[in-house]
Parts: sequence; C-alpha cells; structure tokens
Amino acid sequence: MKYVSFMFYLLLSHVTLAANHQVIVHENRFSPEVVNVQSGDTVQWVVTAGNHQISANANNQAVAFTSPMLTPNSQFSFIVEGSGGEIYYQSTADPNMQGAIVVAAEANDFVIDERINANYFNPDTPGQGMLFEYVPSSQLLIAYWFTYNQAGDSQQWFIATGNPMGNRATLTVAEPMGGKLNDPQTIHVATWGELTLVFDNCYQATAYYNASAEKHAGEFSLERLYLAQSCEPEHLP
Amino acid sequence: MKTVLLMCNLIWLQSAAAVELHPGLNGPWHQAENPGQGLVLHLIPENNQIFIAWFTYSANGGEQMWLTAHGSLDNNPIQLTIYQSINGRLNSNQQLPEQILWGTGSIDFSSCSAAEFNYQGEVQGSMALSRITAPISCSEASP
Repeated sequence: MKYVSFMFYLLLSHVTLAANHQVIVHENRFSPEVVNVQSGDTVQWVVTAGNHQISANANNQAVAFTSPMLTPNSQFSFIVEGSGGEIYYQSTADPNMQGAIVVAAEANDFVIDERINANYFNPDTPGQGMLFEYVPSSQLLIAYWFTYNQAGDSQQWFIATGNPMGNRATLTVAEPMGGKLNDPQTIHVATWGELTLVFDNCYQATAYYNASAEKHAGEFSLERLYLAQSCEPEHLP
Repeated sequence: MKTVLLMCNLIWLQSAAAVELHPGLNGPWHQAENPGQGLVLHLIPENNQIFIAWFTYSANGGEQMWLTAHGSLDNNPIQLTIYQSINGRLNSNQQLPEQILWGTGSIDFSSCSAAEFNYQGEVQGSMALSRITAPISCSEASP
C-alpha cells in the first residue's frame, strides 16, 4: 500500500510539474500579454476574434514555433522547452500585436522580500533605473521606474505594482500623466504594460517589459547600486 | 516658573525634531495635497549617503519629469544636490543621457512619517511630506 501511495505521489508530482497556460487571442491583443512558465509547460492560444498566425521571434532560448492560420474558436498549443529567458511572439494579424513567454531559469530559492528595497540599474544603460519597495504588510512589490521614452526625446517614469511569487513578480505598469510640479493639478493614470522581474538574489535581477500601449518590448539586467547589511552574502539563501 | 516651562518646551521641540537618519525612513513620500507625484528616499548608512528619486512633472505642467538628489548624512537637515538627466532613451546604450545640475535642496525629518522638503532650482518651493506606505523598522529615538 505504501508503494502504491508513493507511486501515486510521484505521478501526482510529475503531473503538477507541467502546467497549461491559456492565452486568449483577441482581434488585436493577447491576454495575458506575458505568461510565466517553467520549461516543459504548455502554452495554448485560443482565438476569439480575427485570423492569426502566431510565431515566435528570434530568442536566446532557440525556441521556435509557428502556428497554422487560426480562425475564431480554433486553438494552438506549444510545449515550451527553454533554459530561462523571454520569448516574444507576434501575430500576422498585426505586427504590433505582441506577447511574451517568460521561461523560468533553473530553480532559485531566493524569495522577494524587503531585502530588495534599494536602487537598481543596468550598467550598460546608466542614467536610468528602478527603485524597489516590498511592502510586507500587503506582500506588494512596487517598482518606481525612472527612464526615458522610446523615441529618446523626453523623460518617462512609471509605477508598477504586483504580488511576487518566490523570486519573480509580474507587475502592472502605470504611467501617471498630466500633472504639474508640486501642484494639485489633476493627473490621469494609464496602463502602460507589464513588467516581469526575476531576482537571482538581492544584488541581481532581470527585467522583462511589454509596453502594450506603445507596442514594444524588451529586457535588461539589473544590478543593485549600493550594498546594505540586509543583503550581505550571509543573509542570502 | 515661566522660564522652566519655556526651557522644557524648547527641549521637547528639539527632541521632537531629532530623528535618527537611518534606513527605516526609506520609502515613498509625498505631499498629500498633491497626489500622483512624490519622492522615493533611500538612506544608505554604509555609504553615508541619501539617494532620492523625485517623480514629478514639468513646472509648466503636462510633461513627466524626474530628478535625482544626493546628499551626505553628516548633516541634519540633509543638504541635497539635485540633478536632471536628459537625452536618454529607454533601455538603450546607443543614446546615453547626460546629467545636469538642476539645483539644491534640503530634507528635514520630524518623525518617521513627516518631513519638510525644500528645493531651489528652475523653480523653488517646499513640500510637507508624509509617508505613502507604512515604514519598516523605523525608530524615532534620538541618535
């Protein structure tokens, strides 16, 4: 009996390891735009409107797929085998219609908490970065992102929020606009896109963004700008 | 008796204004009357520095603007140098920004949840700051 239970447990473990992630394909957008998967998971696209041929862009995972032409109520599935990183894909229906699959890197025991509350930047692109704040009482991760626009002609900043799971978090990125310096002038807040953060430890992370409102996406490495006692090596997992 | 009361009052005022400059003050602050903009503070005792990212808008309104400020923790109130970074491009190393001096400022903490921020640059002004999120391990004990 113990043997049967053990085998059942093994079988159950195996089954739960590979998950299915569904992406709804609308006329001109994917929902969700970013899916976080483990290598071996299946991504299934279900078309609700429009005709789409979905294909992966070139990526460092060397993952390639191209669906047949999909019509409403049809679907396409693909098992993602990757080593960690982002795979962008698009539809022939609209070259600006883009989604992303984030494949988890090898298992990492680091857990996002207040140790990451600091300033991070990409050494390749100095003069822009992110400040992180993990709020223990609400288990919320807030990213304050100070950067520039895609055209390179003005500053741009965002506030991104979401709940982390383990060493990663997918945040909704908001862009406040229309304000005035130190003035109660009313602002309005638009959703800019999504940001997925994957922390290796409290010194290093990778950011993946998908600016659905502006139709572009990318990724970059982040390094902590300064050290802190709470992030010393002996405090790391 | 009046002198004693005055002295007690002065001592109380002095102690109320003294807040240890420590990472418990880190986090987002704003002037509650002007939502949608604010400052994110990071005090780094290991480097004896404060780093501030000021998320706001242009003085004429409409455009997003962010500034950064640095200062030494040797002085309380902290004296700040404020910079503006321009001509950068999102996630691009083909167009690196340049940092220009925007002005100066100061920040004076009166408690774990209240501070006064003054700035002098392209425009000048002050803000009565309050914390937006709850502090983590903030102590109001005098140094």
